Amino acid sequence: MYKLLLTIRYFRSRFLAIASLLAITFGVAMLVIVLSIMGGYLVQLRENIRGQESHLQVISRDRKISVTDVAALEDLIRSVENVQATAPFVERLATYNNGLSFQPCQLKAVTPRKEMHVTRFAHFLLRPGELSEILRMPQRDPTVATRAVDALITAPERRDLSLEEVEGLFSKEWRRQIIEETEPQLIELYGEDIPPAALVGIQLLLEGELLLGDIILVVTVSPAADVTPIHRDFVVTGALKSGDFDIDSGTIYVELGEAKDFLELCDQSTGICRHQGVRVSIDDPELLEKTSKDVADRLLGTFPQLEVLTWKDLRRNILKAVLIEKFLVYFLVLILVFFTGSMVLLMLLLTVIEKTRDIGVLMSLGATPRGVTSIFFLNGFLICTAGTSLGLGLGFAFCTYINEIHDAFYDATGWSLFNAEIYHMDRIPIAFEPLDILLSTLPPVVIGLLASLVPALWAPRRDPIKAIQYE
Amino acid sequence: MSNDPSVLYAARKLYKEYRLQGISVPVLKGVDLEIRRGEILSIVGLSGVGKSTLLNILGLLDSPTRGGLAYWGRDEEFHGRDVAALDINDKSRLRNRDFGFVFQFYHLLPDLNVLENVLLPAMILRSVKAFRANKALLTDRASELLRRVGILERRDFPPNRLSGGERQRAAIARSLMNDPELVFCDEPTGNLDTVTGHRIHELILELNGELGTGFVVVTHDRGLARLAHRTLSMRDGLFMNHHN
Repeated sequence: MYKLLLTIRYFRSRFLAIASLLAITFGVAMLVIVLSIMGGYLVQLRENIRGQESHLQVISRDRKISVTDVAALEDLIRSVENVQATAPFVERLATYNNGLSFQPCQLKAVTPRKEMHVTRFAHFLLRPGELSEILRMPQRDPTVATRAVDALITAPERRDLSLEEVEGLFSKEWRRQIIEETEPQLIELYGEDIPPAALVGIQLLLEGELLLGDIILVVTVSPAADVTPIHRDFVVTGALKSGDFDIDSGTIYVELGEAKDFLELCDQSTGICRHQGVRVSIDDPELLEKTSKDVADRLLGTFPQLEVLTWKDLRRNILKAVLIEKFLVYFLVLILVFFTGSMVLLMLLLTVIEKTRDIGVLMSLGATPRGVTSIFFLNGFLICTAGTSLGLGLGFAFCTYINEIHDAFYDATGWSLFNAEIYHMDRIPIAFEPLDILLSTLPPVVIGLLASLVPALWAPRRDPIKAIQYE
Repeated sequence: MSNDPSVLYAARKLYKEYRLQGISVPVLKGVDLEIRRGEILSIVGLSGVGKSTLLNILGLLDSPTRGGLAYWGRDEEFHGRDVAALDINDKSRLRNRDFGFVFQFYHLLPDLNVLENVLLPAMILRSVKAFRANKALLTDRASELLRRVGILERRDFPPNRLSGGERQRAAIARSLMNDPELVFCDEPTGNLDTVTGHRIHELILELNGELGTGFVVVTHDRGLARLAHRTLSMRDGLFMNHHN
């Protein structure tokens, strides 16, 4: 009983004890925040990559647009166990002209009805109603507008676009309607030959680079000759928001069938068409590596020039870099925790020195050395566990409201601390992983307890008799 | 050691030497002593003759270099054993249950109030559960002791708000909390004025009479020594004579 009572009294009356508790609280909170943000960043990055990339990609080993007989290839891939769907694709670096200047972009030619089954294409696309709602917003500050788009996209009740809705965005009727609404005089000019649809990253619309209904000139080089410039008009009929700033600010999706002529994918004399590759989705993502190997084995006889890459292979470097950065930052913050541990050690040593007379009195009243040790160890234990618990709570609270805190700071100062252009995502991502929580709480508790042990064991070895002889 | 049932505690040939800078300094040079049940024994002598060292050894706070201690207290487990050679936990048990201590500088714990200070030996004796189960009873006993020593109204005060005399009264109440056989007092009036010191003498006498608790008092105070049943005078590490 006396151990508990004195532990609490010693703690309450010592400024240093409260300072040590606060140091541990902030140390743990920092660990939680750092690991949650870095973990969230990694999760979000994976999610973004997974959204943009299919589980697997079958492409030519020479990375050229040289995959022929894509229908047979798709059939062969789909015959592999665990394969869910396939979609051919072509990607090119290109520029687009918005009437003012040429801007670089990534041109993605896809088959919408297939693409929506291999990537999160149908999730990222915005319905015309959603898009007009976003574009009607009075606040044109891209940061604030991005927040609103994010809220709309992540609303739990929002469903992915249906096949009809996806195909509708590329349809001739929708293209005509858009041009009639924005530039009706062009209808006569184009007649029945209305330019194909281009769906652009939302940032291009939010930042005023492009407008809905704009006719854009897309220029790239022929994959056949690699030097001959080729170009085609497209009409902006919609937008998508992937959460990856690079994609949202520099990608244009077009329909593969419409782009075949423009991209010179088919040989006019033989009728053979070439594609960059085939995207593949699988039923059980846990079997990613196995399915990748199965597909590669199946292709070996018929398509030996092709190779299979998983989505992790495609972005291996950035995923590894973020993981390394996460643990690097963790170890840096851990140094701070060691520092707080040494604070506990010093604080308890000072308390032992200051309380030598109390120790002498307690021992004269019958307290055992173990009892005296317990008082100081409990003191350290109280500081460590209370500090860790408070730090955990503070870290969780901060992480839960981190975007609100960021937004409030932005509204007050105009400074954006989390730059979407740098981090490739527009909201601060958070993920609470059990391992991260363990990594945040275990070291401070262990370090704190070890730091408490030294003064606690030292306390009964002081000379209490000498201490009680004098005032 | 002793067949006399009135003897509570006996010291035989106690020696104590300290080493200072490699030189052996003898403090006690073969002290023999018998303390009877319920007596007030005062030990007087000049500073540095070994009074406090003897008291610390008798109170099991320190160990003799040579010699033994025999104790015939409540717990028969210790009868006939050299209590100076007990292990640290048994010594702590004896100090807690059978002995009380009163120091010159009171040594109340400043982080506890007066009542909590008095309750401290009872807290040390019991587990948390046992203390909680008997808390009301123990608090009543502590309050009763504070009433006896005349500072019940100060029970919730921190020690630093008490006068020297009140602090010493609280320390006496604390020493009696576990109903000890023997209370060791080291210069209990050494830090008090004459009038307050005299009141402490009366209190010790009164408590001895009412409770039958024995007191071993190391003092320079001739007044206090005169009140004792027996006074022993120390000189150069040995007792000079016995006064009854």
